[in-house]
Amino acid sequence: MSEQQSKEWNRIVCDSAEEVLGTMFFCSVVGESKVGASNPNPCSEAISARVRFEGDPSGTLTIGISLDAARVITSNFLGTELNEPLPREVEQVTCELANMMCGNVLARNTSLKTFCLSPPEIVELTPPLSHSIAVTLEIEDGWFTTYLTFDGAVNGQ
Amino acid sequence: MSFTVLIVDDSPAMRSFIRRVVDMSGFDVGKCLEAGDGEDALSQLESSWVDVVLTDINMPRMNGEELLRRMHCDDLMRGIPVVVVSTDSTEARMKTMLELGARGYVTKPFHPEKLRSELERALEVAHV
Repeated sequence: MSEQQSKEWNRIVCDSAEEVLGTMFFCSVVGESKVGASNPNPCSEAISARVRFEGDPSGTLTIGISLDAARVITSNFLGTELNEPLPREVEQVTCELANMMCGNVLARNTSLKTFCLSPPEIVELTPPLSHSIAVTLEIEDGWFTTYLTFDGAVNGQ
Repeated sequence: MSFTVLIVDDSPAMRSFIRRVVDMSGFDVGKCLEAGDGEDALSQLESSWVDVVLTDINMPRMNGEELLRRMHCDDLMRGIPVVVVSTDSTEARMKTMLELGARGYVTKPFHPEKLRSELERALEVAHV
């Protein structure tokens, strides 16, 4: 992937995060974050979900979100602001967020005609692969990170 | 007159969100039924009167596309308006779903107003 393509995907991921979080999770993006998935301490207090997509190209989209922020967006999404969400609810909402992020990111690439998403799954958040597009944003109550990894892609190709 | 709405989505969180939008829509919603996939939805459609179906596409066991095909083949279910609520906003997918008889298409993420207006349109078409 060229540097130009990488920058374009980076911008797409940022725009998608802003739209998805703002529209249905009532959470604002504050800006790009210096902490997040690449920092091991915040990782331990995070939840992560992954979606596999098939199309041209195929790959995976992984999101990670700090636990405090995940609890807030879960309450916002479910409309249960007065109660602490259950861990199961936080997982379900994180999966739905990953699903929406993946669909939104892929749809912004006008060259993609069709794609198919696999059901999202909760995964352990690990640092991104060297050829992944990785964006970490500061959001209300924490941070939000996205890795977009295309099958077979390596740096400089 | 109160309406019965069937929400079809494999995500309980998404069903809960849609139910909340429907509850706040201002429509007289008598019953809000839920199904986790197309098969479950067909069972509910066979046993309950439903005025409008809101369905996702990507679901296990039976997806939204197959649900629409099955409904189209059934004399009683064919007339029930369906609004698709999906993350897939590709033109090809929208065209397929509309050709299969969907009355509306809402792409996630959506503003509650968008779903409300599609619901209104679907119900007006069905009850004029």
